[in-house]
Amino acid sequence: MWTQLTENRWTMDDTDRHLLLKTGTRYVELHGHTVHVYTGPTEVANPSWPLGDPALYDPDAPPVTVWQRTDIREDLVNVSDEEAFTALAEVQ
Amino acid sequence: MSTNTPNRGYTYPGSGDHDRLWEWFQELALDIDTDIDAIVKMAVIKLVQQAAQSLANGVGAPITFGAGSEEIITHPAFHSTSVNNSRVTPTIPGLYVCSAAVSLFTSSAVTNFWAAVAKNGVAVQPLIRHNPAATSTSKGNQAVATVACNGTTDYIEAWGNQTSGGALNTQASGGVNSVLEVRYLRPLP
Repeated sequence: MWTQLTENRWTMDDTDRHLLLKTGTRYVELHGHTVHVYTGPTEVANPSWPLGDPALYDPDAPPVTVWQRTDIREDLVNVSDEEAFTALAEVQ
Repeated sequence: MSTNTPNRGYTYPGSGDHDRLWEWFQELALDIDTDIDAIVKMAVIKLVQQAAQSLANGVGAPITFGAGSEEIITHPAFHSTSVNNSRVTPTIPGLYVCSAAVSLFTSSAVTNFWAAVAKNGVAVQPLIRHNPAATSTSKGNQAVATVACNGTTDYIEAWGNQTSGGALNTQASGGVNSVLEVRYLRPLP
């Protein structure tokens, strides 16, 4: 489950650092040294599960958020959370 | 007049071929040697993931096999640990039996988890999907498929897909790892 930090920032308790930034319909997730980019709804339906509630998973329904791409970002491993969120906002 | 065997094309002399018979035996022996060598040295590749990999939420992704992952590799040209390291690209055309085992890190939120062998970036049947119970343990899933490869551009991968509401690592420690195995079966039909 995600913890909402601000209107558009989330973190998840994990063995690796796990952050999520939402900008409009763009969702950018930092997990360890990996960045995943998704598109999704403008309004988050469930702040505990901004990428979609897994308990409501339906294989026949369109996904809440749609994966776009994954990048390896070793440069974000040792920066602060604030610097990481700033970097996530700049991900194209 | 010489004749060729119907399946492998071994050449043998006719009843009138009396000259230099040893040459016929030599050619036959070399042809058989080549075939037997190919059989006893069939390609076997076993890759075991050594570094956890973050899998995005709700999308199939190729499992990567970097440094130290090549547990068995009879044909080094088939795989690189640095370039496109998710891929096994056979340089011998044929049918290959492939096994894709994907292991996920501990999570109680996974509600969908599938594994599949993929050819050229597309999952092939069977795609094995299940909905794990909500327990905080690592999880494994495995698919086995036979794939035809042209020996040049076709490549094979192990793919995994997880839905847990966020990215989730593969498990790559404690004796629980993702594995891709590729075994040569026979020439293309």
